[in-house]
Amino acid sequence: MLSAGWVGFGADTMVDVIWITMPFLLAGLWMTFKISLVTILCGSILGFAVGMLRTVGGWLVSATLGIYIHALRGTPFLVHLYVIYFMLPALKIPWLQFEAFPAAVIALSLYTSTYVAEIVRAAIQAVPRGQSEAARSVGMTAAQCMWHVVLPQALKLMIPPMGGVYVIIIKGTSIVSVIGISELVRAGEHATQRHPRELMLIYGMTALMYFAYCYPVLRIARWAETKFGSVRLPS
Amino acid sequence: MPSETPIVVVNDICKTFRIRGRPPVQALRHVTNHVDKGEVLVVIGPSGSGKSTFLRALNGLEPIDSGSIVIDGVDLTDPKTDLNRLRRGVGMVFQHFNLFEHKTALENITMPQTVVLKRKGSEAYEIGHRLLDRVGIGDKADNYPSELSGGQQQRVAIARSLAMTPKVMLFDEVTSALDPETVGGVLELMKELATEGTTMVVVTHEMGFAREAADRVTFMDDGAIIEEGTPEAVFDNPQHERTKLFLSQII
Amino acid sequence: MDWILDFYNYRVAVQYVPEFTRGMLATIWISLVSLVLSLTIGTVAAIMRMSANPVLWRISAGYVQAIRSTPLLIQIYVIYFSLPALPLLGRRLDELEGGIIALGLNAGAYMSEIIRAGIESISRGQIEGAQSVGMTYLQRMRYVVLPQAFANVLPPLLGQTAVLIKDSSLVSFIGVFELFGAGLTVLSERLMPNEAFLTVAVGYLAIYGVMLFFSNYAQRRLGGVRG
Repeated sequence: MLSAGWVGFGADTMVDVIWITMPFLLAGLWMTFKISLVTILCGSILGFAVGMLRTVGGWLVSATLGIYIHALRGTPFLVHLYVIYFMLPALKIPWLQFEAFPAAVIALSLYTSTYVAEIVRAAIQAVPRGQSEAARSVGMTAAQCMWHVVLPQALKLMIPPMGGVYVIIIKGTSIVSVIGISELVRAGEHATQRHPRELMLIYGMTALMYFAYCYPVLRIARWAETKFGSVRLPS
Repeated sequence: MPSETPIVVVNDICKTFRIRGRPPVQALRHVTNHVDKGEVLVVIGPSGSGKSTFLRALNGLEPIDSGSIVIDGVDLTDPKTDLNRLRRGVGMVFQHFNLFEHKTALENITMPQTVVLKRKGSEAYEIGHRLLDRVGIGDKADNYPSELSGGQQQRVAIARSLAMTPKVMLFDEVTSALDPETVGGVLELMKELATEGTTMVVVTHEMGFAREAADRVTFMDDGAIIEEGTPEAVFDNPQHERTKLFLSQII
Repeated sequence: MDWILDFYNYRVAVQYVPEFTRGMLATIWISLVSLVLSLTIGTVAAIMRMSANPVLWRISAGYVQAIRSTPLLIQIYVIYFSLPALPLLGRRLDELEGGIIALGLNAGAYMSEIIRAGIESISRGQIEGAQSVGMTYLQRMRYVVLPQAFANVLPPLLGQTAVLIKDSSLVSFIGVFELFGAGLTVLSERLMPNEAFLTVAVGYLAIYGVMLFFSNYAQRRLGGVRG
């Protein structure tokens, strides 16, 4: 047992601090969960569209989307977040007046879409050429070939790396704390202001909560990789 | 001509491979043998007979379970023996060459000299060029292994071993992975080394080579030495049924 | 042409050229030092992970798992707030050093996974070849395994380096001045987000472009040798 004298001057013991801050941190975790879930959905849909268009589109479409991906991949997420949060409202266009939450989700979704797009493209390219040649040789159209032959095989390859992307998003949500969204990191910061002496304890608890969220996802991704195989992402 | 000083003394060695989920395989059963200075010992036998394990045990690549191996007076099985030091004196040529893929042919020969033997760069360079000329591919010094044919790679590997001035050279089925048209050249090179008095232990399926170059032939089967003697004795007048069967199948 | 000035007043951006330059150089410097640190940590962690000693590989696995499952921002905060308790070199480390340690530890975990994949890609024969000429463990690693391992995984290593450069923007939150911090300065002094962050974005894109060029160059070179 820890004695009160060891942790401080008698006000709160470590156990007290854990007890008091836990509800706030859990509320933060819930927010982190919501943002990451919405983001993985929106980001995957957008990324899938970008990846497919980049694979089947002409060179112009492909080049344009290539610029989109490089522009987002070449700059820190922090910059995307600030641009969307501060800059777009300054354009004074009514429907671009973001609150913090939509700004965070949009920035994260754009960021996610670049990863997903690359996964989609790599997975489609990983399906052997012979598969589509065989499909075309029995008279399938390009669309039929994609839908019935290539995509079903490519989808399996996309599953394992998506786990990795999901973890990147979960960790990425920590950054939206800087525009005032009270997710896990923000909740932790608030708690440290109230209990400055237990700062390391609170950040430790925060880190453990991220670990509890991310670790299972990583394990599932690893399991999926052994089951479905994986594509190596071009970096 | 072989003298009577043994370089390699192998006494009653055993080795069992234990892989989880599979029955254990006894690869060496109480093998005793020796190699004299200047002698060429050729080990033959069917696949899985333990001949490669025997060869790999001679430079400690395959640790043995019991028995002893003494190389030039140094006991390989003694835990105090510095294996890396011992291996400098034992050259090994592999079936799949095992050349360093990121180094040119010349660098494959010079790098171990400078790193292991601490030879000066210029000296290593000179030895490297001389040995590449010796094995007949002096013009390939600056090519990477991926740019060489199998036979050329094997020549570089032989030169790499020779550069360490080993007391004994081990050859582990060195022609098995080669294209048929390059096999002859490599065997020819090995015969030259043999006539120059190099102490050699050769594991091979090339019976013609064994007959011509060997001072002594050892036939192994199922992890044990079945028969040994001069090439004439083993090939022309085998005593054991298993030897006769093997020879009838292979020739 | 007024609308351009309205959207992006380059005159303001030009006024802040010294800040942006300083920030850009700081970002490059921080990234370089963190990169060297992360490659060192990553190599050691990778070798530990492949060791037969269960204590060593457990430490390495735990480190990688902990880093991969928690956000960098938390790692930066934890290191920053524990700086007073870390009297390395006989003095208190400053924010910059703390930030570099956090970035190095973070990237080190990812680098170790990549380097491990690289080491595992080296065939057993390469190691036996090195053993057969009498190389010691360290000589085999130094002259045979690691050079080939790094060459084999150069593309993902460069990709992780690009991530490291972008991640370095987060140390601005513990008061380190770098490229993103320069943008924050413009935002707080002029309240002009476009001039602040579009300029910053261009700076990062410039670094990214150079990285991309090197990456392509390196891949062509290696591709040539390995055929």
